[in-house]
Amino acid sequence: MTENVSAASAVKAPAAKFGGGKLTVAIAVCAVLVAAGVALWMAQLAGGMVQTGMRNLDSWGLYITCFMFFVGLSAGGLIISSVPKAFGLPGFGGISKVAVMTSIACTVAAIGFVVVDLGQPLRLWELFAYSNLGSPLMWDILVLGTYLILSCVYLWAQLRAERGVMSHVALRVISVVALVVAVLVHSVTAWIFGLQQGREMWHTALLGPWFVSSALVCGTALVLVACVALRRAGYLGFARENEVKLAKLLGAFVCVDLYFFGCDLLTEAFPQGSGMEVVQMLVSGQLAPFFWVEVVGCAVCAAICFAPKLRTTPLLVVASLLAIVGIFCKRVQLLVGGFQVANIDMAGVVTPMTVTNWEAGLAGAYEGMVYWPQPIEFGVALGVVALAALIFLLGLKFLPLKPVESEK
Amino acid sequence: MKRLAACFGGTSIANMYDRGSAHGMYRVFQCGDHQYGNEPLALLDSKLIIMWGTNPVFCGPQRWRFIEWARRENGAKLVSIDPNVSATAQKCDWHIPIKPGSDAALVLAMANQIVQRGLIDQDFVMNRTNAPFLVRRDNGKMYKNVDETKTSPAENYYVYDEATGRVCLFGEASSVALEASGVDHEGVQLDTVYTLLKEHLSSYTFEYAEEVTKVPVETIEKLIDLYVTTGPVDIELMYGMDHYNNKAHDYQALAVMQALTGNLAKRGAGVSGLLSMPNPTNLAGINTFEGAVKSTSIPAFHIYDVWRDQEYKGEPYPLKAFLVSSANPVSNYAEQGRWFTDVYPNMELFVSLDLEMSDTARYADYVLPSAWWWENYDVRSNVHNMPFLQIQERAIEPVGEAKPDSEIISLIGRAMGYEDRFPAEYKEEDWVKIAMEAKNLKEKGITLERLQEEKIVRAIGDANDEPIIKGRKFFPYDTAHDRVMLYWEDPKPRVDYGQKVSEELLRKNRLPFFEEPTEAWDTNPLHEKYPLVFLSNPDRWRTHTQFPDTPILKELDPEPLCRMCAAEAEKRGIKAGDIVEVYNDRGHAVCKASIHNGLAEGLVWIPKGWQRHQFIAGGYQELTSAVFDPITVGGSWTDTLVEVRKWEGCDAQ
Amino acid sequence: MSRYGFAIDKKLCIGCHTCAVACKGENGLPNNVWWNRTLTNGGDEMDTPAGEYPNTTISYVPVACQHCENPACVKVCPVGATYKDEGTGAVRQDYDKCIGCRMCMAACPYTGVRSFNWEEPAYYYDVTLGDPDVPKHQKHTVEKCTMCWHRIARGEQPACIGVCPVRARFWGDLDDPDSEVSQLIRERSCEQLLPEEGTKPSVYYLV
Repeated sequence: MTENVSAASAVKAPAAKFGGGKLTVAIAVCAVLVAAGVALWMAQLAGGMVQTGMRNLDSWGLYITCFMFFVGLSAGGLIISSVPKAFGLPGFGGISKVAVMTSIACTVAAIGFVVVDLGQPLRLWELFAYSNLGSPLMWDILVLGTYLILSCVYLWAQLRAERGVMSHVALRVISVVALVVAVLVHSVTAWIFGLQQGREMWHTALLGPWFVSSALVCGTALVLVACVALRRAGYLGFARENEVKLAKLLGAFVCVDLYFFGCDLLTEAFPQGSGMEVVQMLVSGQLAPFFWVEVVGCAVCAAICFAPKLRTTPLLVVASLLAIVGIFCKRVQLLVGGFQVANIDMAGVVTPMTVTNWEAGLAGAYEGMVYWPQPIEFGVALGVVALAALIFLLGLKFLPLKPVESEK
Repeated sequence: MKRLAACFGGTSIANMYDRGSAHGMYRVFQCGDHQYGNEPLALLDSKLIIMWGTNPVFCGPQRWRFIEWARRENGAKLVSIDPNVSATAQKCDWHIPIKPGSDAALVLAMANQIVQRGLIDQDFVMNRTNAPFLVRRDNGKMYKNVDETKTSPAENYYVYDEATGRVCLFGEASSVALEASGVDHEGVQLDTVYTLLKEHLSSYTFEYAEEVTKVPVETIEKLIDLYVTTGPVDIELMYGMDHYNNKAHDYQALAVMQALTGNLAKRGAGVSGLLSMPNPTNLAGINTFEGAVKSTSIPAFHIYDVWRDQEYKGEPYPLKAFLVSSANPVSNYAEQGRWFTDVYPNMELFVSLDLEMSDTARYADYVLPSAWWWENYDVRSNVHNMPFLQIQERAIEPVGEAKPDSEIISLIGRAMGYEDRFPAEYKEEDWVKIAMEAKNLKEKGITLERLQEEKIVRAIGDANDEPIIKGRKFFPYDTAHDRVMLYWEDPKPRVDYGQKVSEELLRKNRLPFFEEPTEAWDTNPLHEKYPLVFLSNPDRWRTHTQFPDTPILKELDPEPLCRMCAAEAEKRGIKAGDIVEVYNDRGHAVCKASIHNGLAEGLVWIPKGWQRHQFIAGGYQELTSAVFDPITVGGSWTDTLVEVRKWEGCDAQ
Repeated sequence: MSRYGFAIDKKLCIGCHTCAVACKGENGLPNNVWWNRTLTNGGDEMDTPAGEYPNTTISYVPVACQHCENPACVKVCPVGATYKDEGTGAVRQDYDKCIGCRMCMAACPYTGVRSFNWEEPAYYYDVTLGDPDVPKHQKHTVEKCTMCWHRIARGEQPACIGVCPVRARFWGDLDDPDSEVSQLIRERSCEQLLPEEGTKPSVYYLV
């Protein structure tokens, strides 16, 4: 279910030479997919969101899942690139600008996913006219917007610093701010879910830190894959030493993430009370596939990252993909899981607006996964992802994102 | 419709629904159809309310609230006697499961104990029933003054005077005996009604009742104890017990038992339900006229035979055309398959006046759309034991081609040449005016103008007086002697359709007895093949077969369901949501299965009201039997055995 | 300034859905939309009990928006389309402002009380049903029980109150100690739905 945008484009590019025809083709393909996505989105609005798999009992779906996922990807990418600069540490070999570019692309995707999920996108302006500043969704809009601008500023600042036009101190300040905002972005995204007392699976203080750790996992993994791909495509050099550094970081982040997961599961399970429903759903119930893919995938990823013998480039790519897929699975667990366990599940009238397989009644609704996306959602989602890819590729094509000599 | 029939002697149909209760009570009270119950306010004086074979939570919520208020405000105990744990049973203080179709045995066993232990209300039995009257031993008839010369009807009966040790007319006795056996009068051997009843009841032992009804003896004891120590007792009845063959007895027995304990004609007591009061309007002014041609009335299920054989009472009877108004006989008559095999082949013209595309309308040659109640000006009376007359005014004009029934029938009447009977200038208001020209309405000062003004007017009883209670001032018994008949004095078939009924059978029916259902009993060999009793009692979502296609109700109740308990489903490998076929030799119905653990083992339930087009195949009414007994002449829909299996055929929808 | 709330007598409720249908009619709800649902607390299907014959249990719980005093939905709506009406205590929905983000549906703990118009509102009949003062239903917005605010504004009770055949529904000012609702809550044992969520619902179930 994940789209690794850079790997896709890299596969298209020849090994030795970068840019030129293959990149243009990739950009064109992305543009077409974006156009298709927009067309499908228009169809979704015109024909009604009833064409999606979402209904009253499962009122969020693929789009918000991807929104969480892409915020994570973007925050992670930026954190990876800004931490070294913020702390004045050696980086990962000048990949910072590429990392920020991925972050910008992913932020655009995240915002895109919110937009395509809205019932009334033409009323978007109301977010700024009637803002309810107490709403976590409003916070996220503000923070995401700030974050997008800041990412662009950060990239611009790096370019200027390279040309010697900006002082390194100023750059360092911007990178600190970027770091803070990146952490904030994903915390705020977490709070959209974590502050809702009505959804047992979501309502935990751990969700903020956990989203940050998940962001670090998939963000680092994305950067790792992007850099390996770009190195293969001849776009940049990516020293083995930096590759290993990133890999170790990835492994560490995976461990932290799994630790948080373990804490949450234990906390839910120990009282053997209402939390057991959540645990059972994850471990052996409707969401078990997503749970085990994440847990096993992340464990394998960590093993690869830590074991020198396993830490080969191909395996690292696999490990990164596993981590990304794993985190995506986490988003699915969270989103669907929030709706899978109903607070009130007494039998009542069930109509086509209640749930998609309404004919099976309420019991039938919760027997399997309460939500599964419809084709139109995959299509629109693909369009948004293609938009992110497009932005990234355009960045590659038109912006000087390659590492400069001093950083190699 | 009756007016039209009176123009040319059209055959009308004698209804056969709910006759067990109507006729059973008639045997005891001689009342009009279903006119034996108290108005809802009377419930507030009850201390014990027994829901016997009725589910008012589903089918009579407007009466149920009074029952709840009796519990809340008067401390009334609520008991439900029902094979299933119905929605009502769930709300009652005590639910007693009972084998379907066996109720008379329980009632008679209770009555037996009451009589044996002397727990009767002496005063009521002696003075308000025919218990002390003497009966001839030779032919079972009441022993009466042949000339019937006394002004007070009771005084034409003979009783046994304990003071003199002699048989004499009632008015002449100084100490009337309740029990007297084999006393002699001019060579005629006599027993009192009470003696006969007591003897008759003696065979209804606890052990017998437990065997037949599957109600444990301890439970029967407990029920009797509650019944005799908690009063006044109101027994709510509808048709759960009714729809088996020959079930007038269950109702007759209950009325007798209530009479024995003095739980009749008293505040808070009676046998009641969603019943009827006399209609005070002048229906005769519409239904008939000077020079009316006599109509023949044929019982509903017998008419299958008449259509098939084109014969009635042994004479040729060429039935060709069928005009239906305000009814859905194709859906409601039992053994629906007979419409196809027996009726349609001989039917040349089928006209249906209907509100909806019911089963009847779908098979009609002509459907004449009737106006709904809010499109139609009329007067409503006689609604579920309510003593009111209510004006019904048009909220909107009839939609499309719909017309009020009175207008449609008038059009037909005029087209058939009866312009004088159906004046062209008559509107609904004119027919209503005729109906309001009634003597008893005039006496109470109720005019159409007043009704128009006040919208709702009390036509029976007095709001400042006691509630309307059967057997008391506003709603007296219809027996000549104003007494309840523990012994049916003048037994005869409810309707005559040429049947021969032996004297022996008539005599047997004078006292209530238990008889096994004709089909739905486990000793029937058919039970091996079809082991499940088939219930088609109503669900909460519709009134009989009305509103089957109302879209908003369909959102709540999308399709017919065959409901059974988990145990019966498991035996057949059926899960909730499976498509199943309910079948017997008469037909089948295919629909979705539903698990309902309030239902007892040994039965399945498809709620009535679903029309044929709403089933995947067949329809529930194919399953029922049109067999009926020759005295009660009542429909026995629940006297049906079926089996259920997963549906192997294709979805024919 | 009133704080209107409901009292529903669970002992009396027979699950007949009259209140649910009255709501649907009064508010001209689109096809397949229900604001007020009569839920069965028993078996898996509506009107089936829990347990095994003959020891089964069933009760009915009519559930609609609880018009909470501390509503989770109001907090999270980014544009304030969902808001607490100070004059009545009703939690109201401004269809014109709603951007269809469905955050309120995720926040509300009371499963199913909020309904999203996933398609253009459709109706079975050509004529418009419902009270003319009811705001028009809009595609892709969230809606729910309005406490019949249009009726309260005219001095009437919500449509679901008077229609109950067993007289189990009550509505009134919770801040007025003499109102019928306040008296009932004082005199009878009552419970609330999901009190542990801290939303302080204004609906009390008398038991």
